[in-house]
Amino acid sequence: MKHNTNAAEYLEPEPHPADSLTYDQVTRDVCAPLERVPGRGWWMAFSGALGLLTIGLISIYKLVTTGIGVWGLNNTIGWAYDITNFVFWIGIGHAGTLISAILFLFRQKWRTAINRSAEAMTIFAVMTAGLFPLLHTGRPWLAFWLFPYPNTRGSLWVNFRSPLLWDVFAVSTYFTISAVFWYIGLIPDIATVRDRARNKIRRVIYGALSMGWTGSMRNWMHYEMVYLILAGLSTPLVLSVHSIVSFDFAVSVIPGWHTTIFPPYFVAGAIFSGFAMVMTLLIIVRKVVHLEEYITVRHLENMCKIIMATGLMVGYAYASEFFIAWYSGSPYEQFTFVNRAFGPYAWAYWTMVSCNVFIPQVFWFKKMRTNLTIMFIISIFVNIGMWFERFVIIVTSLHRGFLPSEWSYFTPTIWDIGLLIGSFGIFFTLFLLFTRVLPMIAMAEIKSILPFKRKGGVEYGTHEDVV
Amino acid sequence: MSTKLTYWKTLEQKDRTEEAIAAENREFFVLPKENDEADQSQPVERRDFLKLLGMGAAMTAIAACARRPVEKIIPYLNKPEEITFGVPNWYASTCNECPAACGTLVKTREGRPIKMEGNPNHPVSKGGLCARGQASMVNLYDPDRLRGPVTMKRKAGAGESIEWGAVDSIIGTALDQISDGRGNVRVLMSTTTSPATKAAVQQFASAFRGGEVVWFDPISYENVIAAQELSYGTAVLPRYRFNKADYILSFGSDFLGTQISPVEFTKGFAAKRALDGKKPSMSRFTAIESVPSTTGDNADRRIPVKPGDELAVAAAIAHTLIIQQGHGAADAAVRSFLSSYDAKTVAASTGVDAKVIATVASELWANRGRGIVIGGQAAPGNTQALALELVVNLLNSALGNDGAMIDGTARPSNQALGSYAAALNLITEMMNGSVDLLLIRGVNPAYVFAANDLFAKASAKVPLIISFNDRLDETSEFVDYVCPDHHALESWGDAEPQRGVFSIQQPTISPLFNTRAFQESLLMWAQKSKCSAGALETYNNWYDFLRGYWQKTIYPTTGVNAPSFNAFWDSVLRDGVIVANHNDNGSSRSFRSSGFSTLPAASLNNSTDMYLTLYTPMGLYDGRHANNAWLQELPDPVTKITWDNYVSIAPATAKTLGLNKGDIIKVDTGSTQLEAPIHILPGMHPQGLAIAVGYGRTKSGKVGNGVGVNAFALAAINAKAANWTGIATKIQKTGSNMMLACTQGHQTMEGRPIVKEATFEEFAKNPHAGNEEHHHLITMWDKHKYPGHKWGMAINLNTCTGCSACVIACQAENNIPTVGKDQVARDRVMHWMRIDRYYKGDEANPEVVNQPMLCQHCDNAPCETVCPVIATAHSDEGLNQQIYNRCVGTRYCANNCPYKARKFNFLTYDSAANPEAPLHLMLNPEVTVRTRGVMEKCTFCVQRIEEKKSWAKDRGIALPDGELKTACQQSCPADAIVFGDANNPDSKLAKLMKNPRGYNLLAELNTAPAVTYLTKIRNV
Repeated sequence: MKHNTNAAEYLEPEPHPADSLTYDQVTRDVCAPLERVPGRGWWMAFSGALGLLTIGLISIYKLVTTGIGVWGLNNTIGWAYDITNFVFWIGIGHAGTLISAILFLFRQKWRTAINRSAEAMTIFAVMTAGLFPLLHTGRPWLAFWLFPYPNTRGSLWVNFRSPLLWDVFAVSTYFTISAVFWYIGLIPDIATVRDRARNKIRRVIYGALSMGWTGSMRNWMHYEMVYLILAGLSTPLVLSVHSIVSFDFAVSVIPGWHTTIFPPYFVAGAIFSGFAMVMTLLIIVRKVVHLEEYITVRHLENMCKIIMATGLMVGYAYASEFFIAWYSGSPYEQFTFVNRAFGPYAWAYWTMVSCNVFIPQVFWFKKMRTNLTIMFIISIFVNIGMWFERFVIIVTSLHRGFLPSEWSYFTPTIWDIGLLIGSFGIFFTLFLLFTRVLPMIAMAEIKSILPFKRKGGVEYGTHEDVV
Repeated sequence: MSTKLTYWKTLEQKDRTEEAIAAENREFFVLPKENDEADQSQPVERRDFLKLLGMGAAMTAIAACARRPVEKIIPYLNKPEEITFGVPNWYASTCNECPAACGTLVKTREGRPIKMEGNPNHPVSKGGLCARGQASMVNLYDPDRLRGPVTMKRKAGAGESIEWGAVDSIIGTALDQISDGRGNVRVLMSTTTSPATKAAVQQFASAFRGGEVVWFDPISYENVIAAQELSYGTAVLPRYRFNKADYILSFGSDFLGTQISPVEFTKGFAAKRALDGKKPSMSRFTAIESVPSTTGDNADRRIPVKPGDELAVAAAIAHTLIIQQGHGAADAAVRSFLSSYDAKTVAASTGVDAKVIATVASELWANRGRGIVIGGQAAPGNTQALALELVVNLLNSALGNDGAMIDGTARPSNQALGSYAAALNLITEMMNGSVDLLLIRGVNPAYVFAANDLFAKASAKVPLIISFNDRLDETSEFVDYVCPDHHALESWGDAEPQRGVFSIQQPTISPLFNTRAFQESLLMWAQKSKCSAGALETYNNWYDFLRGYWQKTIYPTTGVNAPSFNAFWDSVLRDGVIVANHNDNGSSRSFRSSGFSTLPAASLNNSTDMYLTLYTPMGLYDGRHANNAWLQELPDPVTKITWDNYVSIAPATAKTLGLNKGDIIKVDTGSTQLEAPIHILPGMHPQGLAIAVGYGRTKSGKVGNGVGVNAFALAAINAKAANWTGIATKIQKTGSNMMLACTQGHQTMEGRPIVKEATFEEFAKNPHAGNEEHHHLITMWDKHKYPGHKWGMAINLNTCTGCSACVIACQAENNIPTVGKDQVARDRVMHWMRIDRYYKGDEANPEVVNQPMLCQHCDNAPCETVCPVIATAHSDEGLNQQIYNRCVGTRYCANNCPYKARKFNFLTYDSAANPEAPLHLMLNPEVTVRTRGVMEKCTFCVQRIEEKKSWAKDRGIALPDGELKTACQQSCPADAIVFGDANNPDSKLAKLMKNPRGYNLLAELNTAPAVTYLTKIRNV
């Protein structure tokens, strides 16, 4: 890239789509996956995802027809893979809103290349996550009792003191706002797809979805306002959702759960894992759908920096938990943390620390931050590490509680693993379908940051500067 | 509306007439008619029609969704007078699950017994009932019981059903042939304390010239009786008065678990250790044993010895006391016997510290006349064991304990009659072909004598064998007819567990199957045949015989001055028990030393071989309870393992041999080889091995078949005796391993203040000893208000022996499912009440504490706040309530429970939710059964609370303290559990809560539990 060779690198630190792009090309490139018959690559990926989904559906069938007993849980360890998966997927869902809303408010223009897929990821991750609170109940057909709806059971109401109920509100609010935010952002692009439609069915469907978008000044004015408001509404949710998810643990009396650091620690962890997942997806998608010009290495490099930063925060939280355990003087608390690092689940703890704290340190080096293969591998490690973080928090705290007589050990069954695999199936199936039916890159937004061209090819600014 | 309208439609409107105003205020000109004024021509109004249509559609949809099983309710056409729906009837009866014959009260609902409880008025068991007694219901409703008599094809192991009439005529004919000829009839029976049954059997046997009754118990105490005869001249099983003993020294005895009369012994033992008096006093208990037992776990001082070394240590104590210190008289026989057992030699040989021997001897002397020395290992058929019993008697006599503490004269026990000697003699007779007819009742000789097919071979020589067992067991393969006896809860009977203490056994349900009381069968056959069986022939049925026996034999001895026998009989039925012999103070007997001269020369065993001991398990006893899922799933009080037996081995030995938990080893006693998994048990002697009998049944039923291995086969059997202790054994690794389902995850307290304890010395100085730490917690919230009752519980950790009677009592009361070995291994056992057992100190000889653990009904319950649907709530009487219907099963409450008292239904556990018929009759109708996906836990027996509250309300009185008992409390033989109202300052509970020994578990969490534990005190 040209401007990397001069002082512009420092003046304009934001990553940027390739300079050669024109509006027309953007529209053609972004709409292309929607308008052609999917290639072999997509079909292979999709059938793989369907395979995983099938495993998930079989696991759910077995679970619902037989009972929670198909899992490896016991009377000491009431939660393991189920809530681990829930928190893991909710965490994944965080990057989307962070990228869309917070970076939007901070005018981080580079987000435009990745925000659409990140938001889609959020929606699908939250949908996947939402399955687990439902399925982890012993009687999922009664799980609707968790909603405070008017009923005929006398004064029976939900328990507003239960963090699990706060979860229901937090997650459903988060899902609603994220979905609306995503959909509003999609409207101009859907209108573009509608306008390019060659047959009636596409015209009707995309026409309906675009809600009569004409691209008029009035449309744009309202759109920008709504988008800004929604961004403002979503921002606190990024912090609140995972804070509330962490209350599930922090509000309890169990050593290892009963910790005040959990809300910020969980939020940092969620951003950490969310970015890692966005990175994993984008590295694949930009290759498969040929969007290298839009999602550049500079974008990914920025994400690497965020991953490293949040990774360090998470590492700090790990260390601080140990300090507080020692400082608290509570023998139960101290035991729990020593047991975490050196007990029967030490393997899980050190997997977590290695993946989340040690390995991301390679991003201190620019060479590593710009090497796609390294990035991809590390993003996978972070995903694994963050899954283990939740597993470690949940299982190692539960398995050796106050009374040693009830100490236990959790070993997953094939149905635990099946549902974990299946959750990836659900997620990837939805994501791959998304890449076929909706524009993966926010065309309207990316056009706004394309540089003006002069004949000599020297840029002056972006459209937005003029607007 | 009063203004005049500008525009109007009608004149009425214009003039604002009343009708017009009313019409304007109506929405419609024509109102829909009410139903009652509906026009006949229009039977359904449009709106009604729409309502009905909508409702019909909705109802159809709902009806299509709901599964509606067909259920038939058949009311009583003529309701029996004594039955009121929903109100239980209680019958006094006698437990028959082991020979101890504890008095019981049987709770029946709508004609079916659902729970058995101890009879508080019974002078022997005093209201306690052990785990086996509590599990009696499962035996009654066992689906594997025979449905009626069966004619067997020997060897084939299968049979065909036959009518009682046909059996009777066949056997009647056979009896005629026998009585014409030689007439060697044998009745092989396990101990019954029933005087009427004994009379009936004796009369039947004596109808034949060579008829005999052979008493045989696989768990036999014949050596105690034999030693009594040698020492005192009478073959008697003494009564041990633990309630008076200040000092107890036991040699391999399990008197708190399985030996002779454990409920009675536990009552007495606990009474001396409750520490509830004003002046602190407590007995001291030293246990010398080779297998850690429930009893040894409760000792103040436990000394592990090599199996077989108990004699040497006992003799060394006697040597110190009698020879060295010159206490008590000692003649030449005693001197010569004890001469080789001086403390130093024994200490060198057994590894028991000579100082300890001296200390025990001096403690015994200090407590002379107030102590009990007890042996009584089961089935020790070698001379060593007999010698041990003689030394025990010697010590008791020398110390003056005999008579005062050990009653062999006034009210001795009838609770063990059987002997291996008699049974083995019978087998010899059978081998010789001299037995014409063998009747078997209550024993399973083919299982007990499985080694070398001893019984199988012997049975081939007997022309006719009849079994009265309730199922097609191992023995039935070798018999001709199985004539199933009633279960004790279906039949009449009586008991005399100790001389002059008579109790009655009433049927509480009409027989479930086409079975017949064993005594009635004898009666029928005696009458069908030509043989003359005395009085047996003069009664129409067993009930008449029993009643007649009581009228003629028992009634006159009781000294009761009743208006008539009928009145007496009715009062006995009501009370369940009558004491004819009020003299329970034994007198001391003169000790004869001649027994010692019959013994071979003493020798100390200095070998380094491994020695095996067989022991009686708490649950399965001699194997008779193998098909009882409750008892199979009852964690062994010592090892906490369920659904298996195993070879226990010392940790040091396991390390040396490179053995891990569950490794299968080959046990070789020279005559028998057996493969079994090992369990590494702290407190085992390094040269010791131990395995429980009662497992390894092959034909007990669906539950018990193939569980464990048959350790009876390892007993060293010769022509006269079977020996269970000190069997020289070689072990060998097999390389394979199996999983043992243990309910306890970790065995030590990790230094946490879970069971607080102190020594007696510390306690005497400061009653707060061990319990000094009190947490001063601050809170910003108001406390709960408990305007009426505030239920609570106190558990005395000093008297709890860990016997686990409460676990099964709770299971029976609350319809708790059994889950099976696989689920137990996954830590999903459902018991609401569990006994946590922790080790402390050296693993070679650890201290043991037991802690009953149940829902603590916290005032600030962590479970209550986290349930999202309020399925668990706090009652205004302090109960933490679980609402099954509302529970969606998030398990958050269980995660947040510091006591891990909550149990989740991970699967549909059919054993409670949908049991196989007729087990469903056993369910307590007052307690809902739970489906899968629902959390459950201890309710403090809320159904009992409500019942007693109504009871008090009916009478218009305040509920008296002690009237209300939870199931665990009622059953506890140690009276360790007290339930009551903390708001009543005079209640026992309120006082115990203020006891300096009282503490709340994990009080620093501010959960404010309703359960108070009282510290454990060790008298060391």
